[in-house]
Amino acid sequence: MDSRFVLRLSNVVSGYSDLPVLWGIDLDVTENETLVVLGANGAGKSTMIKTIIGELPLKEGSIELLGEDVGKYKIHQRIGMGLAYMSELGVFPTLSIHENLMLGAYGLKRSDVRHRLEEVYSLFSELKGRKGDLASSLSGGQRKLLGIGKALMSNPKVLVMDEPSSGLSPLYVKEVIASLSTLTGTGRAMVIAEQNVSFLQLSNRVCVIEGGRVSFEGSTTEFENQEVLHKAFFGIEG
Amino acid sequence: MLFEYAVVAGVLFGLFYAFLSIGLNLVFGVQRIVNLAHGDVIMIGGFASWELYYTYHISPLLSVVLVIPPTVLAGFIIYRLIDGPLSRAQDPEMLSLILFFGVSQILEALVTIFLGNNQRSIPDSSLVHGPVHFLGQSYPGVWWIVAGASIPMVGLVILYLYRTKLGTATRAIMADPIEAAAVGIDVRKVSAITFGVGLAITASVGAIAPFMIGGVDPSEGVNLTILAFAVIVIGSLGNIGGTVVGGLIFGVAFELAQLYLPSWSSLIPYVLLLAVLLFKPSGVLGKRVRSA
Repeated sequence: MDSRFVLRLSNVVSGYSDLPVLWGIDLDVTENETLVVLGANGAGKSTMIKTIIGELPLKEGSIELLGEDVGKYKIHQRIGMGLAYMSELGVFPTLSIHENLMLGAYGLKRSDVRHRLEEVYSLFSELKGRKGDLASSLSGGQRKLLGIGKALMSNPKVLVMDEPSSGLSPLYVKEVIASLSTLTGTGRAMVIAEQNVSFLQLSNRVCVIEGGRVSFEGSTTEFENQEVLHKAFFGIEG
Repeated sequence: MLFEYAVVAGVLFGLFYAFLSIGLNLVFGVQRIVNLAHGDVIMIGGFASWELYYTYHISPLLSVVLVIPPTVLAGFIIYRLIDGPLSRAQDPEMLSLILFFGVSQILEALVTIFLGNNQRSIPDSSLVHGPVHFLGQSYPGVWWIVAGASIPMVGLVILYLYRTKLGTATRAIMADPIEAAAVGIDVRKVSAITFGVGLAITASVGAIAPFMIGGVDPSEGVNLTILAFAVIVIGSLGNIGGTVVGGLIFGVAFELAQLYLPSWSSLIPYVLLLAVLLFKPSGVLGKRVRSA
């Protein structure tokens, strides 16, 4: 395998019970790359993310993470290899902000945790002043920031996110994008499944999923030059 | 004075009820397992304590600790056996309910076959001699000993959950098992340990329960399970701190009912259960979660 690829999906077929949702997805993600996966509701974005982390089993195909075939690995085993996941919920609402962050570093040595904690608190300083508060007391936007912080605690090589804009007002979406923009180009790869095209400002590459298949894959510039896609997602003439 | 007596007795029994119910809440909170055999595990703890006292002259207070290791191990093994079917089930809560109803019946039958269906008791003198005087009233000494033993045991469970890495992982699973796995927690392993701890704390309370409920017999399991369910629903399902509050509310309410409406007091578990389900279904300590 090419060592630049940190995540590779080959002919991935996956779904719920006997019903496939993804029909042969091929996708490569390289280190330091931010890939935005666009698609309408029900296109298969979340299914793809859940298959990458291991919540849904592979029916066919393979997933390689950092050069290793992880198709049969459980979620916690994939996370232990350098993958981090931020779900739509993103946090444990009934636990404190500090506990959420500590759980993000669950697999780390005690000596590494303090350093990671300082780094994450410096990125999200507003969380530091409220570290004893329950995550459920945070606003939707703050919860997303905590979710990002939690995912960063393990210092992952690959960070996958499922609709970080879900349930947020445009103002909070801007805040989340601003936070994520500080993470681009820092060596780790990010895969962001989204409907919100604002996230394209973070991406190097775009993948469009329709009906469980990749209908477009290319650079952000190439995507913007595709008149039909541009119109479909931005709703205006390209 | 009778009112004060009932309140103090209610607090003493309330602490015991919290100890009696906390294992059920732990097991339910982690894997949504409805353990209908909860009362039967208490019953087995009671028989173990009785056997250890009469055969080896071991104090029931020591039995509270001695029953823990074998039950943790048994719980760990049982969880590994049932985890597969439960995780594949469409409705795991219903399956666990049926499964543990069967376990409850089997445990009751086995104990009846091997030990008979007579009620056994352990003399109060095995724990304490004479009553305890408090605020001008006289209380059975065993009530104070059992309540006193309940505090550290419940405290240990709370410390485990809130001050250890494994406990935080347990609460993370209670909140959301998928999210927990997604931070690297081995959900199956931690759940198995927690199930073992839940059963152990349940068998543990069984060792001193005969002093509060008058003895131990093979058929007591059902009533104890109902009582424990009432306590955890009153406090808040899945909220371990709520179990203490639920236990105290239940204990004081029951003792006051015994004082003022003795013939109605046996209805207290059901009335409280219905009242909480109707007016505050999330329990006294149940919290709303901010949604935006």
